[in-house]
Amino acid sequence: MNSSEKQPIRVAVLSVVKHDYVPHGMFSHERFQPVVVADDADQPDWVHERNQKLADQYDVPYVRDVEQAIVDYQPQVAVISSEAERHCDLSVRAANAGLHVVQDKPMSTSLSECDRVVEAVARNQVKFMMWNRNFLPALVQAKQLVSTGRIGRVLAVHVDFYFAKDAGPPVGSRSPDQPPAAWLDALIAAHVTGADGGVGKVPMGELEVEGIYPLAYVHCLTGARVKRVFARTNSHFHQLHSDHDVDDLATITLECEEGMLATLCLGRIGNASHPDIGEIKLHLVGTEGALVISEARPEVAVYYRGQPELEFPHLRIANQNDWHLADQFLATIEGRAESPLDALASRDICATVHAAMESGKSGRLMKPQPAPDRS
Amino acid sequence: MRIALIESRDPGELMDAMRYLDDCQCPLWIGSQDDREFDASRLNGIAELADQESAFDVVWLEGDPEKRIDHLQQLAQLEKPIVVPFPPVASLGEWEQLQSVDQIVVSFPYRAQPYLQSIGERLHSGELGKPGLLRIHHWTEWREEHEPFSVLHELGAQIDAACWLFGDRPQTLYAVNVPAEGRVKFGLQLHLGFADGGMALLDGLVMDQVQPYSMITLIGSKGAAYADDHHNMNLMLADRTEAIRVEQQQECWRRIWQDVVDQTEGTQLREFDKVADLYRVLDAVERSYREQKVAEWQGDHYELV
Repeated sequence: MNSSEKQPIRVAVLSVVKHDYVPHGMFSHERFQPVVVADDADQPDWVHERNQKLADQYDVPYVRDVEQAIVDYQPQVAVISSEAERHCDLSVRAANAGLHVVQDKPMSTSLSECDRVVEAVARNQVKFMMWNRNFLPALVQAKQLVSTGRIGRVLAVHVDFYFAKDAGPPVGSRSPDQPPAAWLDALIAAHVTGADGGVGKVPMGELEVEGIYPLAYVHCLTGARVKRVFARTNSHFHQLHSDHDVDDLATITLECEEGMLATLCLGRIGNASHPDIGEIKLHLVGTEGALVISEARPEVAVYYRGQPELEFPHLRIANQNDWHLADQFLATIEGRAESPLDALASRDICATVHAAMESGKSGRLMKPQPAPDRS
Repeated sequence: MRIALIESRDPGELMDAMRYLDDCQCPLWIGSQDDREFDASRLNGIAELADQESAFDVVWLEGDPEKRIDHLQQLAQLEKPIVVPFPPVASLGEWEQLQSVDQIVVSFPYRAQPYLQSIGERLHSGELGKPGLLRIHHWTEWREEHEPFSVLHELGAQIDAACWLFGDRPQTLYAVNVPAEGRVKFGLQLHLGFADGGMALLDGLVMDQVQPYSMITLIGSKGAAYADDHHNMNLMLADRTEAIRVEQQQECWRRIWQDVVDQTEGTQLREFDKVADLYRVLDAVERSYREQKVAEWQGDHYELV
């Protein structure tokens, strides 16, 4: 029997206020079938509007009661893309109802919330996957080269992860007599450009919003745990970030187990800084050689008269990241594989991000907070 | 401008690059390349050079920085500009011994790399806005003369470049060694923090039987610049596919000679304090990775915290 002849996996989308690419990505796989979109009734109108839009797209009901939707539609998987501060609560509720969980990044704005998810997932014996980019073709190639020993034991991984997107007016554009822009309003408005990864009540810097991706690369390529962190962070570009004292540019040094080293450069560096989404590269150093990997490759360059200013002229091709993530999660649910980014690994990434943010503020070396011992 | 070359690793390459400048030539050289013949008179030592004082205008001194102090002290007697590539000597202590030798000019060959020149020009013209982040990967192929390894040799020029681009010394720094294992003979990762939030990550690596590789990214508040061997290589498809580098070294030397001409014809021969500052940074880097601590600038020195 091939996979398409098997029973579909019933999916509830629990809040989809920012990245609808997460549910779209899951539904690119034939086994995952949307059955309901749900959220809490007390959410504001803009949340309900976005949830309703996705429900309409898939022609499924939108229910303003998460627990009732789970009872009525019997989903097996929850896909969650709410505001970051609500991610973990929805994940815990889904796990407690026996659902496997696919969650958008960042895991949470609070490490204790991440710990709740780790505990709930373990206690309920369900599976968890944090959405990531580890199945982009260049990453798959890098992983193959590393796992087949082509560069020997990995000694260092360096990741550049820049998004060439704006986030409102530049630093210095607000006069002293003007009030700072409201974070939530600005991020709600940024939804049309897709630059709303930090949407929510709690302001978040780029490191907190996007740090999961490069750290997931390091995790996927080495599995090494981080021991110490040194970081520099700054609000270098955007008034919004400066007003709310969160970063839009960061450099991080990570000292890992067994002497392995990793570094990250990360930022929301503005539309003008790159013709495409941004320079995203990996440099790996091993005992037998090194790798220089461009995350965007393979790509096709397309230029034409009247090309919209914000259209990326370089098109990524042969990209099946979404399908592979969904397929891997299916294998995880069926007990044939490990989750590409499970709850504990996601929680540890969040701990590393928090240690980096603290180091950026204090100028000191920091240790990521370990997960609570549950033995 | 007549330049006397002393202890150059490749005098032929240097002389060849002088052809690009109308007013630059090499009439004399001193070196240990036994079998080489060039269109210039070869001398046997600095004493002989002193006898030919009317035949040259400037001295270019290379050789091992660990051994330059003696040569510099001898050359100081000639009262001609002495151009020496960074790092000029082995340590801050040696540099301070030369404080009274006014005619020393420090050249920065790494800054003369065409890609770095382009980035520097665009940054300093204001097109890229305020510098925010610099990333350098500088991977070199192991040679015998690399050893013993030091921050001075392997990452000194890149530290200088970072200071040059940010226009100041780092306020904070943290250095970590990459384990020397297998082909990796030496690796140092340096994290710098500059005033006003600027930051840099410098990665110096020496690998056995691995071709050199260089990458620089500079992120400014208005734009960014990317220079990467990954982009600047061509492909040769023969027995096996191979990435091949496009030659940039001649252009690099042309810029170095132009800089030598410009600097030695000017009134300001050197910036003693800036070079001394670089030695302080290098010393702090050594202490940071040995002690595994962050170093912070405390007004007149770096303190481990």
